[in-house]
Amino acid sequence: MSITDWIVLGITLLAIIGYGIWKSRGTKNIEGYLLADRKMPWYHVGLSVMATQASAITFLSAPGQGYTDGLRFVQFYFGLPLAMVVLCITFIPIYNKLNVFTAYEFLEKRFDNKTRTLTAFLFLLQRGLSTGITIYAPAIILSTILNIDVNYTIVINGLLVIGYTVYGGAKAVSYTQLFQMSVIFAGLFLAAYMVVHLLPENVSFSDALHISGKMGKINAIDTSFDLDNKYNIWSGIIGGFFLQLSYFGTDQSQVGRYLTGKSVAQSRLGLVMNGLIKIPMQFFILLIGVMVFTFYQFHQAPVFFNKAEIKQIEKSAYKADYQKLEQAYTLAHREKQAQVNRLVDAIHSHNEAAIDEAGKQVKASDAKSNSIRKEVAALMKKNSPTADTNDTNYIFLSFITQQLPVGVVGLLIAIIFLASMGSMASGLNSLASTTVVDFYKRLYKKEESEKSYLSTSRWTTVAWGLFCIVTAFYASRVGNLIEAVNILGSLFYGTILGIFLVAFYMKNISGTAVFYAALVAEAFIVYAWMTDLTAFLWLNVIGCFAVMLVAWIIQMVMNKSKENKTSS
Amino acid sequence: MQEAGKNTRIDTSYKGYFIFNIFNYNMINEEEEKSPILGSWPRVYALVIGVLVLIIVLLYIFTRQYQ
Repeated sequence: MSITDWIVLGITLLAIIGYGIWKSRGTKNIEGYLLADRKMPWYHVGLSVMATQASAITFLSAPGQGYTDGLRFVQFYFGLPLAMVVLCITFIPIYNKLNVFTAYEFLEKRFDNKTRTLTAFLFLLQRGLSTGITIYAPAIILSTILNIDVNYTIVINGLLVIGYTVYGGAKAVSYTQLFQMSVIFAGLFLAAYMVVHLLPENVSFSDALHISGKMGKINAIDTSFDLDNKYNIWSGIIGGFFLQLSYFGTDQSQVGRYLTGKSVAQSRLGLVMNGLIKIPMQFFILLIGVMVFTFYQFHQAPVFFNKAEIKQIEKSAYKADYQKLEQAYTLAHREKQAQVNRLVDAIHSHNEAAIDEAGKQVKASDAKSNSIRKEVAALMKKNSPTADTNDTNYIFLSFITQQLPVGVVGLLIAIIFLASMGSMASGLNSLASTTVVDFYKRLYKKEESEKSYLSTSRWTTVAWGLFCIVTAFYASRVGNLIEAVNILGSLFYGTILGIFLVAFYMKNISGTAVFYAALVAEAFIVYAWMTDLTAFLWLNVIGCFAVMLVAWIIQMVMNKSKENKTSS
Repeated sequence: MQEAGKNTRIDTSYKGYFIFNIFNYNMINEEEEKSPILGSWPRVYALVIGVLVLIIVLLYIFTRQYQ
């Protein structure tokens, strides 16, 4: 990275963090620290909700996903607007009326303390691990740029976020996120413009869409119903709805964001904003990945995008084998490039038969290149069984640092950092809220001064920050980060959502019934995931309905047994 | 519904907890929390769902056009 890029990166980060700290000075109680005094307007709520969900993973992994898998991941978000509507109608008024700090407080008011504690525990487990993964994503950037061990960059990035979150709490989180999202939107448009601008002169944006379409990347809608297919319209609308409803309705990292709204109307408008913008934004990010893919049809892509792993293999006994594969990859690219040029000519001549024929040939050449990439990955595994052979997260990073001009690189790297900071800060704030409100204050110290709770909240934020840093050390082993976070969420969200839906809509179910139902459902979900029973999005639906069904059965048995005792 | 902020149990026996809860008739004062846009919340929700349907249709056409 050039000095200009470092200056752009440094100024962007310091300005935003400084602004957040300045705006959050003078926090005196835990309502201010954990919920920003519940005084935020709708646009703060909306941008904060978006910034919390859009982690660095979104900007690193999603374009990589677009590059390797096309646009089909966008279907994952189809359930989100529907979930926003349900949240506005049901969840927000209830939380607001009960004046809760965390979503789990509601469960004690509806059921009992053990159900509240179990749900809060499941949340802490899931969010603690997910936040660890979100620290890892930008740490790999610094690691690549500075050429130092990724563990050091995890620590630096983690400590930076811990610093301003501990100081300013929810206010610092909200104010920094407002500016983070503004810079992120600006940077995304710039990145999209740059990648289209870098295409050859004779290739327009429409031509690029045709080329990527012929190579199977324009696959935004898949209407086939297949339970094993991760992304189709049905899994997106149904499974996605349950996942998003659970995430936004019961995950404190999100609940904590819209509880900062100064009224029900302001919180609702914030979520409505998210429901309107999220899918177009995600589509846009994936499309950038598809355009990067098209760019690399005209310029040779690295045979493997993770430079650190390439260095390892070049130092090993497999160096000669790797070099042979690299040469074969170069030849395959030349062959493919000639065919892509033929495809462009066919597109310009509007000859459908020629377009189809050229498209098939390009696809075959691409398959050949991919098979060489797989051989390289296998060689890396052979050299070191612990090698990270999934380079999806490095694709966009590699494109930014190698192809974009000075200054733009610094800004785009800043965006990835800001996105990471936003979601990590919300994560830490919610982990601290839940630990202090649902465990410390509820079970340990019920009557303490505001000052004492504030101090405990700060120390808890530090402790969770350190836990997340340690988790991030192991995140490299989980493959595609955006999928890993969603799979992790799907393991817990269905069960948690089931508990909340029983609370809202099944008035005759008691705390004991839902508590044991949740344990049974969670055990089944873990079993279903370990045995690959179905695509992960469906785990949310299964977990949710399992809790509702089992709770209903247990309640029936309990009622029968009560009746029998009474009659005898 | 119990008074906010106290550790007392929610009363689930009030009329229509199951269905009417969905429309939160017992939850908020709709006049105080009137939607600042489009006049009412159901219209705002209809807009969100309408935009979702429109996006899916547009993406379907987009996929058919370029696939």
